[in-house]
Amino acid sequence: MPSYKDMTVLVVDDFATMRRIIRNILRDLEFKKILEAEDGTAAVDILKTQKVDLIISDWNMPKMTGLELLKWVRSNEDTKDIPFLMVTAEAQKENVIEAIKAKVSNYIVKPFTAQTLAEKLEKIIPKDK
Amino acid sequence: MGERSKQELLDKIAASVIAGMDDLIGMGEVLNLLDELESCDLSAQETEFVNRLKALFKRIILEESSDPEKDWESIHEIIRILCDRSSEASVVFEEVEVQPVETVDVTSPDELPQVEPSQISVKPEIETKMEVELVVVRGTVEAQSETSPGRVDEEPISQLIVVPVEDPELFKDFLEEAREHLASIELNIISLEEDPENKEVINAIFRPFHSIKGVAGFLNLKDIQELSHEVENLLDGARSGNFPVTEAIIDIVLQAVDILKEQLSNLETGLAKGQIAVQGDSRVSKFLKYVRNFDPTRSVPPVKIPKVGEILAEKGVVEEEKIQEALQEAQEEGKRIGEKLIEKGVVAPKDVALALREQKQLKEAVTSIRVDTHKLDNLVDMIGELVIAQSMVLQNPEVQKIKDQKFQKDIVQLRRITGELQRISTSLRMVPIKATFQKMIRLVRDLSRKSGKEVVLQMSGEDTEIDRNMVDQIYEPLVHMIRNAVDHGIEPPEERVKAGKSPHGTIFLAAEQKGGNIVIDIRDDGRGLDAEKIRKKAIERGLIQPEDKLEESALFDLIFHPGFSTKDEVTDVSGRGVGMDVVKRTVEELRGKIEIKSKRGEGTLFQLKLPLTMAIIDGMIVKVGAERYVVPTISLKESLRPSVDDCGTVHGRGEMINVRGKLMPLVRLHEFFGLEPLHRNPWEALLLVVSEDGKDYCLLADEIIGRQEVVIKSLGSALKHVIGISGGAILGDGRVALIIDVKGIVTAFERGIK
Repeated sequence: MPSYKDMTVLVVDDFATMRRIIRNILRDLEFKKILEAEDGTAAVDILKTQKVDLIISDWNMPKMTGLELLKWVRSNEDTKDIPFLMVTAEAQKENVIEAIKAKVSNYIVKPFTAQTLAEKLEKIIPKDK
Repeated sequence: MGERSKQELLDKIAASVIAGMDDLIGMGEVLNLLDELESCDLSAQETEFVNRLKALFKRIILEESSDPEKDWESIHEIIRILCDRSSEASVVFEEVEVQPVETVDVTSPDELPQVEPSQISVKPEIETKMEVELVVVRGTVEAQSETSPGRVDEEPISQLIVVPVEDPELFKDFLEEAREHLASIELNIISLEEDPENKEVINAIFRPFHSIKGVAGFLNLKDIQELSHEVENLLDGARSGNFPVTEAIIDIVLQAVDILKEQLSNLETGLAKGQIAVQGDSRVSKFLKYVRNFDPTRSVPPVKIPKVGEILAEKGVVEEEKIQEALQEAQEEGKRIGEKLIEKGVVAPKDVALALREQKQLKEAVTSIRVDTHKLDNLVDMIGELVIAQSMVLQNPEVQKIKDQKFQKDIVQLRRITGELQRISTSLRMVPIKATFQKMIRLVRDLSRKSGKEVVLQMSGEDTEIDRNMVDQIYEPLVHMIRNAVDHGIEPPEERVKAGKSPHGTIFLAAEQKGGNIVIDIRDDGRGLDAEKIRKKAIERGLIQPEDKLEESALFDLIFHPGFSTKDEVTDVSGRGVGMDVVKRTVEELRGKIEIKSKRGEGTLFQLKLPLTMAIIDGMIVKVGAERYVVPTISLKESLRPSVDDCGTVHGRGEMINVRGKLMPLVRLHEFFGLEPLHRNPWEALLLVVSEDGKDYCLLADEIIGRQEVVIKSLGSALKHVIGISGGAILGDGRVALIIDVKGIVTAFERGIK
């Protein structure tokens, strides 16, 4: 299992409770540095100023959606290689293909368990870290 | 050219490396290439391959494949064959045709894999720490078919499932946030009702439901999750334009909000006990049943499109009888009416084609179009100018000399047309007050439940039309007054019965058009205002002095004073930080008035008088000296000429007029505006009785010229704050008259004598 201690994660969701749930799971996985943003635009602001090693973003958000955020991240030289995990709902699963085409690293369907999230992270975070 | 890029694409696809089934980025790249490839000139075989590949990728990505290894192999196989440059041999095709069909057949015959539920839900059934007790819960809903039969599945859905709470903090967060979301939904629903096609608004309602569902899923709040899910689905359909947002849909959303609120408060009580009900609420299951059977497409009202025959008859191309005849024959022979008519030789093919085209246009135009409100305002404004220009022409002395009969007739016609234009232009901006009133039904229901009082809402005049801009603005004041009526006005059932009333209170909401104004009544049959209590409170607050002798109506008006509240404690129902002062201010901003009538033990009436539109006021044109002013009729109670005996001076209060036994201060408009009047004695001049803050005043003017609807013209920022003037109006002869701001004048007058 890769070491998550030194990684900075950015959790993007407009629902604070959701961020809290994800944060709790990440804590259990030994992540130490967890940043939060309440939508895509706030996430962009953070990404412009801070080094982030992993982005976990909800799809459905006001102002700037997860897909739009993904496209921004991938088109930006400094951020284009950051692993990006898209959180999506069962009903929106079909849209995942859109995100795949926009180079999402992986996706996870709500509601997920701590174990599923851990498995997904293992898949997208380079093993040498 | 197309071929070359196609070959390039094929090369790229062949060269692309997908590291494994977890390499979604690699797959994404290939999918993009495939999309691009599709726009090239492909053979049927190649298209088939591309589609197969896409379906296979999709199945792997969505983890819906029953045998990913096999699908994976197929992908490589198809890519190899598709990109093989020497793929002209038909042998290869045969080989391929077997291959993909075989793999696809394993799970489903369709392009879009329809995987059986048992295959999907194997994966997410991994328990987390807090789910040990909840496995049971899951079994009944999500995985009804696949968990071991004979277990909890068989239990009736109505049984309430209660589980212990693991992380109360999380639930508390959720409660708070979900409530905020519900509040935002309710706000947006209002906008949606006015603009049901606004995708932004639908989205703004969809999103909170989506979020609530997501978190409820984590917290295993099955009822909340499912309910939000169904509403979300419904809204998603509306958002994608599958069906319009109808009243029925809005009702469903509102009901869902209601139930969710109830669920949240149940959750709150449950949290305190450490045990929460997560599933099986009968109200939820009833609702779910209804929504699942609800057909949103059916509730679309059919639009009446005229038949081709009708169009032809209307145009006079062919007689009605002949069409009926042909119609019958056409039906018997299973032909279309147009065909039959041509066959019979009664109409030319060209006419039928034209009728068909017209019919099509009607279908497209349907019933309404959207227009920018600025354009509309501009139109209304210009029509106002037109009316004024017309009367300027007609009042020109030279024109009035013309005695020609034809000219006189034409003038009548012109007047008729401009009058109609003005009427239409006013009506363009008008909407029925119905939608606003209907929101009150819900409000009263909610309030009555919250307060424990039984309240019935009776409405009349919902079809009364009001300026669209005003509808939005009177909403808040109405809500506030109804809140007040429930909270302060209506007594609890026991108290009502004791007073000999029916246990349920009634609130009457009525709108009607009176002259150039809209009158909205909010009346309750509650306990009425307590003048003595208001008086005490006002003295306590320093609003009046103990020695002040105020009439009852003036006392009532004190409740409009900022910071006045007759109840000491702020209640959940009416204590929202908005006072009656805000209500009054809003109404006055709309150039309206609000009045109170109340009788102890019988109830209270709030009467709102608003102008029909913001652009035109119904005014009385009066003369003061050589100047003319417009007094809005909304402020005017009556006009009179007093007798000499009725006029006098009261020490310390200045000039007073006795109007039928009631003393009213005299306000001399000529003094206020610094003009030389025709008459200084009130008994020679004219008095306008106006009422402000429950007090009556007599404004002294010289004469009344007439009553007229005038188009309001803004005076610009320089003159915006001139006391006593609220705007300008252009009169029939082209001259400008100022519109008197009665409240401003009276306030200035009061300040002057103090």
